[in-house]
Amino acid sequence: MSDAPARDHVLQIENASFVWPDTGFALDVTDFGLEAGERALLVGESGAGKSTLLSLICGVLRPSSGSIRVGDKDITALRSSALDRLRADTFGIIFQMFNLLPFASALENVLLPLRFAPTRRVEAPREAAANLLIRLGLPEDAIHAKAGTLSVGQQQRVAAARALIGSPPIVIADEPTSALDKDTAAEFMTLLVQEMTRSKAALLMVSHDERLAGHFDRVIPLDSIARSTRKSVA
Amino acid sequence: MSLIRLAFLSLLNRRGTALLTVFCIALSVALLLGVEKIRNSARTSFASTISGTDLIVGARAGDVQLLLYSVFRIGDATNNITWESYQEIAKRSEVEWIVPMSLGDSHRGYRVVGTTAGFFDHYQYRKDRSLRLSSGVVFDDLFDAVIGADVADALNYQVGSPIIVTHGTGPTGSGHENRPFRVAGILDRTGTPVDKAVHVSLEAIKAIHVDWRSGARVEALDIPEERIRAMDLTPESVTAVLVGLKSRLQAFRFQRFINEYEEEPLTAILPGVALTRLWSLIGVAERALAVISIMVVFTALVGLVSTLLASLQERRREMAILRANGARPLHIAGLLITESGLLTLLGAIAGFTLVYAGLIGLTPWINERYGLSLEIEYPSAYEMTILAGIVVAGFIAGLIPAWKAYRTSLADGMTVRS
Repeated sequence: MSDAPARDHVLQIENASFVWPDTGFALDVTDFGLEAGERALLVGESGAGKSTLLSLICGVLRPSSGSIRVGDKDITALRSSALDRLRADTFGIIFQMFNLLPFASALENVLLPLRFAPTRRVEAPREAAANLLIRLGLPEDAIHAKAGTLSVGQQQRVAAARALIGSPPIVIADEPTSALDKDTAAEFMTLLVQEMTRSKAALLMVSHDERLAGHFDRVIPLDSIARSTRKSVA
Repeated sequence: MSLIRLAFLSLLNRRGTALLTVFCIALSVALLLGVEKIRNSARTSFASTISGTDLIVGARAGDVQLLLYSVFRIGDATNNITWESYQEIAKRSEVEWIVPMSLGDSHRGYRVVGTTAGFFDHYQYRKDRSLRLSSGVVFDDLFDAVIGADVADALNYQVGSPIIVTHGTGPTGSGHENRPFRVAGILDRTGTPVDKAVHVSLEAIKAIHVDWRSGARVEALDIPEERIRAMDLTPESVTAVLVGLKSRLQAFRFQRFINEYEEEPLTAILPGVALTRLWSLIGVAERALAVISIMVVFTALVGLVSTLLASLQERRREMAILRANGARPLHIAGLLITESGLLTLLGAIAGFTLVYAGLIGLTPWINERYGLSLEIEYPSAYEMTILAGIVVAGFIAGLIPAWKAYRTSLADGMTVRS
């Protein structure tokens, strides 16, 4: 591993290209790295390829060329089962909305990744999950409520707790505040950043809302690290 | 959270369709088990149509034919046994009891059986049950009749009702209307052909035929009843004879003795053996029933698969969430298989409960009404095997939606583009 990236890089992308076969939309990421514990906000217009980039990072999409390193592994070389395992161990993921299994309780939703990611298993997981939920501002009586009955704001807190449980090295958040009103979004961000500091995980958040910039170490415009083109398809 | 709990919660979330599926499987399992129960009890009832009798003797005939006319009263004997042979057999030292039967007449489609009072003592069915009178008495007078429960019900007869016996067993025999009988007793229901018989004394059969010659009544003879009662009414022949031996071990030897009887050609059968042979002929229907109920279970499982497949589209979000949290496609497939197996297990348990609840509730009524010997027993190993087989089939059926979900979750990844 002579070309291993600097030790404190939890994520390193070099010259990764991907083309959507059906639309011909292509994304070329020239150079992008994320340091351990770093909080980075990726901003860009909608349709600029933010979700495609996240899918590449999580290994859901495979680049046609280039390399993507997560920790010390080049995930483009991994078999899909190994990739699934790596994703479970390495990433906490928060979506825009509909993050939770509506029929399971908030607590059970938080515990879900532990079922699949052995390295994230913690002692007394139920207590750890409950504490995390409370620190993220979920009312105590909502911990055992079905996730489907919670408000959108509460659901995002549960999703954040789930992404953080077992301290994965990287948390990926895809516009987690876009479904929240301004005040709720601000409170959510404050609590999330507080927990991020505590768990020392790196945070990569995608948003088109630059007002969130204050919570981050670095704001990266997508077009500074990647080039998107739309090729015509026959 | 285990896969089973996840499957359970997800099912609970879709409890409407899940319950319908479980109900569907429960009904099919109940049908299968119910048919199995009835099949068994039909076979048992049939095999114990007659018991306690060691041999049935008739004129030379096939085993099944002799059984059919002597016990089931189907068809007619081609020949009779002479009274001399009957007495010869009765005198043998091995014989504990002997009951003659004279067949050939009928009453409104029900066979008339001329016999002795010994018939009611020795005829047994279902291992060791004896005939019992629900009302009246066994023959008291020459023209007394004891009728089976079906005859009494169908013709609405009570003790004292008059009975006109018809000569022959066809629908249009000429009558013995000059010698009316009277119902003296009515038997309890047995579920055997006894229910459909009119029993009279052997002497009465002789008595109603004294003014007959060559199968037709001779009007001119018209012998008054007082003279008949004074006559010697010993018959010249009987149609079949039930024999009870002192020791069962002698049955085969005694059978050979009868079959090699030199005075006239006779046949002796062991009722159990002949019944088994007859059941193997008519048991086809029973097997067809079993095949049909297996098809019903199969149909229910197909329904289960289609329900699960239909649910996959609306559950793509659920699958994507699981994928995003580290579930591998194999986990997703496992989830679907667990669901399918869980539904089948619940259905099997419900169906099982349904059958046994039904049995407990309905057995007395079914046995009374249809003369079956349904019994509430602990589930047999065979039934447990059936149930286990169905549950395993349920898990296997889950492979189809599991494969589909596996493909979908690979293609969808963590995001649902819809």
